[in-house]
Amino acid sequence: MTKLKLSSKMHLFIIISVAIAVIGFAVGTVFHFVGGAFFNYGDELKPEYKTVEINYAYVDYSDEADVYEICDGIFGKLGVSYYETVSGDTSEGGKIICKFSGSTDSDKLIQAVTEIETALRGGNDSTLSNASVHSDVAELNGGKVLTYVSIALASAVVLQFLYFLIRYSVTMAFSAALANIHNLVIYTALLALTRIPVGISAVAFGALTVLVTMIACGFVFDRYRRNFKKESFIKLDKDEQTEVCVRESFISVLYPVVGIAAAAVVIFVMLSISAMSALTVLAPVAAALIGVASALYGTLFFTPSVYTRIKLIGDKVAAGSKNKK
Amino acid sequence: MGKIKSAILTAIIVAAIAVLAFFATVSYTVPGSDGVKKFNSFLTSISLGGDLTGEAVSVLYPKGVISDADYRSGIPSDDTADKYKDKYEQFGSVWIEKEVLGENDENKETLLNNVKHDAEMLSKRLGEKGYSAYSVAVRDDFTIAVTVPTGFSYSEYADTDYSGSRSDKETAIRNTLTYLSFGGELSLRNSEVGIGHDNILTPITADVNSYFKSFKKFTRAGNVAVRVDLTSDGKALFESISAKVSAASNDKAVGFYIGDSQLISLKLEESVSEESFFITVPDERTAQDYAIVLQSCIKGETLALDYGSANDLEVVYASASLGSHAAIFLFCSMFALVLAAIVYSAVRYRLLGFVNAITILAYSLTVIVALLLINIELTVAVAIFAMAGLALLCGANFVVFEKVRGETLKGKTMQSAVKAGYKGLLKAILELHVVLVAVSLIIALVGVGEVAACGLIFFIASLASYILYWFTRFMWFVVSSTVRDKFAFCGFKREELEDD
Repeated sequence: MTKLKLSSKMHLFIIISVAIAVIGFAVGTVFHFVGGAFFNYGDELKPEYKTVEINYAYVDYSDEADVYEICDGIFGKLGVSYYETVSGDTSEGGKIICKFSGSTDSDKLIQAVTEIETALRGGNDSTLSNASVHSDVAELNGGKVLTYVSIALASAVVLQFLYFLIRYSVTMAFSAALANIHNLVIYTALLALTRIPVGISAVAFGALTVLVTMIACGFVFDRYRRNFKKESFIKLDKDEQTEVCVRESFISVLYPVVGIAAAAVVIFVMLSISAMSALTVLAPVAAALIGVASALYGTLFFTPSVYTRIKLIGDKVAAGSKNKK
Repeated sequence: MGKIKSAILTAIIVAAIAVLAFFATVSYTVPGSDGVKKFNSFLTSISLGGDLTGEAVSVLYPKGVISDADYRSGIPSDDTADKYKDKYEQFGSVWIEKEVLGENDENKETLLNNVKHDAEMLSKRLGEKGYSAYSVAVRDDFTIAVTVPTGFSYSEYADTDYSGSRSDKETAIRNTLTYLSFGGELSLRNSEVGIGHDNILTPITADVNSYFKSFKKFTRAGNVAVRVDLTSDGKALFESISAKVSAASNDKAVGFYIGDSQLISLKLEESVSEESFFITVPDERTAQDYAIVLQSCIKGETLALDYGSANDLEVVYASASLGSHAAIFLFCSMFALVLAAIVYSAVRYRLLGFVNAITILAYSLTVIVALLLINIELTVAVAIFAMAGLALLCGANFVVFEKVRGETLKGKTMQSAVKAGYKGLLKAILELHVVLVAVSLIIALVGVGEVAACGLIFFIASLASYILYWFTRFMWFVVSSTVRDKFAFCGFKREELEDD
């Protein structure tokens, strides 16, 4: 950390950020045209999906695992796989609900349903066991969520900008706003790039990215503000000032960031054990980790390097207007 | 502070936290109740999200539409089978009565559009419920699939509660889905003084919606009601209606009907001449359901089709997608994180770590109590936001501890180092928390569903973090008063200044 000269690496960080953003958005765009969706939408935000419902009678099957074994075998044989499955009880027995992406071949699902029904009934037509395939078009309340969250985050960024404008300086306010926008762009690009299922919780972690960025900006820019009171600090050139402030605030920023990341990792590991699958829990927790990583990178590496230039420009503008007067 | 005073104060605070922690985490059978009554800990009483306790899944079939399974099971074994089969036409996995479809399926398009419209309206109504997540989908073009979180607490989910609150909640979910899917316009009816076949009380040609300003859930001092606000036209009309109904000999109630289903009834003893009145209902959930349906009706957001009664509705309580023990594993993760923060504090800061441990426990209890009292659904995302609050609190404390350590290295006394440390970070910590409180409040107020819940928990967490930051300072002072070597108390070393 001490050897890395952040201020002199502005171009490198801009290249890294632009590369992540461009690759992420390019991947998203390709998937938008090929697969019909920019992100790999999670269950709550999927516009279309297919559902196979399997009802089985307890007189035939007392153990849900046996039914799953039959279904998984048939789905596997036909080359279709569900992205989520849940089960529950009905008045006659049990129900298994398997959700497939909207692009899954309907004919294969119909064939699967017929084979599952035959297997469950075992040649007995009077049994209550049955299976059916459905095509669902979601009424997207997720769209409403995205709209409201976008408004909330935009308001939050504006509020922080105004606060920094009043309490800190114009250049710091611009840099903090830039940090928020940059980190959200990186977060969004990484979600598109990694194809992690984007559900409501991933949207919530967009808010977490902004909050972590604000924590980090708070520490970094407070350090600038305090150091500006020192004669020795003012005498340093702008690049040196940035190095000193980032170095001094690094540990302060690291405490909450590492705490949040550790929380996400521990919850991820524990829930993976519970779900017996890392994939099921990967989506929300991985989104949290990506959010925290974006915030940390953006605030500790990208923003300080850019701030140095913004400060130089700000000082030049201030000097220019002073000379005019 | 004197040593005795300090010891007593520390003991009181630690005892209070220990007692609260006991009630927050331990469930037990109430002694003397013969094992019938159970005290559920705060933790096991918190509402959990759909990812932890599963979701309630249901499919709404409009009148005249049945599933393939129902169709097949309904085929008579006698000679009426052909008549039965002739009654229906198959569309994918549903069967529709030919009577509903009309001649040459002329009503098919209308039915399709009505189902689509109803799904949209139902989604709006469910949106008012404040669920962390829910979904409404048009299934097979002619039915509506609805998924809502069960909101079970852990004791309800595991069914370890003897009071039957799980079945109460299941009934409430079924009722919610039934009420919210009531189709048709709002009408006021009375069997005795109502006019016409439907016993309508308002003028037949009038738009009944113009008589009502709003319907709201109302709770005060344990009483729950739906508050009805009338327009000036509504006030005049309701005065005359209520006078007639209260003077009736047998039926003295005004029925609020949605379509042909009675939603709520107001019993009258005298005429109502106020602009607002209240209709008492048994519980908050029901009041909210009634208010949502009635409010959506006066906004013109009605459902076009009839989806049957509560008895017709099959609700499946599906397993949690994260595994049946996801809630336990999440609680364990959170315990592990709290423990890790305490251990790190104790290792790095010795007895000052004990002070920080008290603060961490106080924070954890604040979050648990807030989740319980404000009825925030705990999901994985909400848990991570709550842990982010803990990270913020510990981060602020560790930063100040390090700052104090830095001051002691300059040769200052402990008292002076603590004073300088807190003073140096006063603005930074305050402003950081001000920004976070304001931003999380915006997210809580503007966001919806799980995002709003995350914003709300972080708002509480940020507030708690700032208050507990100063509580740490207070406890540091109180606990360290009993100790002679205040540097060893914190695991700090004082720099011995060499004589210049």
